[in-house]
Amino acid sequence: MLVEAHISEGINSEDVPSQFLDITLASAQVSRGPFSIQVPKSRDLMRAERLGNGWVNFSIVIDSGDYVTSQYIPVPMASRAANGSQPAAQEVLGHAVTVPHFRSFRVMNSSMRRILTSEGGRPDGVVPCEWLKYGSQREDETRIGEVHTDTDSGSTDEFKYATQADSTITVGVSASASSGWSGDGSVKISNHFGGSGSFPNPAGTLKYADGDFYYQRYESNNEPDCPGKYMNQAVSALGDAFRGTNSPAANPYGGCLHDPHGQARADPHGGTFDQDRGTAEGYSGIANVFGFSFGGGTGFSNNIYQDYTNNSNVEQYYCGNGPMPDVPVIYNSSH
Amino acid sequence: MACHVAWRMTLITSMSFALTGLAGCSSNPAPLTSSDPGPLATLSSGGQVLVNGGGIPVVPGQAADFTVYVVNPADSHVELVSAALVPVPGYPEARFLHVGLMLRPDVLGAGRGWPSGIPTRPLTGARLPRGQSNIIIGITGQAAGRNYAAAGIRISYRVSGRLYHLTAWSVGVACVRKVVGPSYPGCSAAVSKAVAAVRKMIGLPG
Repeated sequence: MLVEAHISEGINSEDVPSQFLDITLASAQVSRGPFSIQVPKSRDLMRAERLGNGWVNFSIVIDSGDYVTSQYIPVPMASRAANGSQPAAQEVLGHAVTVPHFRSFRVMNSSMRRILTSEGGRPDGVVPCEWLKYGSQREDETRIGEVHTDTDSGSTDEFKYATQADSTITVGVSASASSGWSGDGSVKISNHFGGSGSFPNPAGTLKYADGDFYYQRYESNNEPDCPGKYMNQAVSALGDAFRGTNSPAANPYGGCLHDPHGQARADPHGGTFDQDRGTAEGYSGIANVFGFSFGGGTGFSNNIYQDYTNNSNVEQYYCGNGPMPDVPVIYNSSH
Repeated sequence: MACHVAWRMTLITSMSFALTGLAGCSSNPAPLTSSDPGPLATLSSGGQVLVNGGGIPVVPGQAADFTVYVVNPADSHVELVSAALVPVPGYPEARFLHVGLMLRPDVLGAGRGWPSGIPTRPLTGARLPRGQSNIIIGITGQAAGRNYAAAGIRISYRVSGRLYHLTAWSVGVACVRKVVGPSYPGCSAAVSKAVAAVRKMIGLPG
């Protein structure tokens, strides 16, 4: 098993790296049962933490006989990565994090098998994977939430996407640059630009909320521990937010009165209800770039607010798929 | 072959770490290590404190009603004793008119007048079951044109005879006006500013 740091290099003015290096930090032989791998402090680890705004995107590769599996996973390594999140802070201070299940083992390619054989099966004989920028970057609208505003005149909502909007987005790998992508874990994308976006929504709005992200394909040097010949990943967020063009599903309860989790009320003539939440709704298809459908597995930001103001003449009700107010999507009596 | 690997990553020092866990075709993720959250907590999501806000224009002395959220993570009953308003830096201190425990899952984002229309019971002596409970507060001010704010409430409560104190964060702003009319955009802005001030006060990012 290899534990590597996914380190960016050569960042351009749009915050897009010209290459990534998956630098090996630790390796070990693992058999069934509990295992432990010591990973020493190193310049590479500290550099990765610095570049990742306190986060380190690890690449973990496991070889088993003729099979291999891998995944990218972001880990908070410094207190500034926690950004108010208690679990992240606990991971930093308590030194523990749960790693998601790996994807199924796949057949090892001949090149990797040959090197492992020549190295007597020692995984540290594998040369680090190097990813070089392939083609041009692409800016794409990426789904970060959704807006539901009641149809009563005077009912409004402001969607706020704050600074430090670190996002967790899946990584695609493939043997081809244009197709055959499959997910290989996820990486943390920092909002290096420090931007924050918000947009007002009039009565009757039923739209997704989007933000701009840069995406880039990379070609590997095809060293054996690369999870694919090509990698496709989100590399930076502009930190903006705007109303998207597509519409999400309406209130599944048909109205807040029938929501079993209850409802929140804002009285007419100026009642304001500002909803805070820890994570946004996770979506499987937040963007489709270079033929890969990206997903957001754990939410997009620590800081998403939606501010509802009722300047109508009647009471407004808000509800969701759990106890108010901590729900990822807020519905209303209209939709 | 559809094997999965689940493991637990354990940091050994501030910058070095170890991976520990189980390798095999089927294993369960190890639980995240966590410290004792205490018997009662302010509302959070994924461990992150949430600061909700509400605001509404009211005439002098009229109640502006909001909800404060608390969570009892344990099966043991929590008995509420009292509550006091927590001021917001830079805002005139509101007068505490009413407090009660809501009897339904409905909450009041921003209500005007008392009673609020949502059934409640007195806070003192109320027992909180496991999970989220919602506490309604009514605040006001006397000077028209001023925005009176509360950052939340300081709750005293007992568990097994021992007295605890918790601050539950939820911002309420009573925008006191001579008359209440159709539109008050300034109240919405006051809520946003008060929420930002409270987040800063408790060390959360803006």
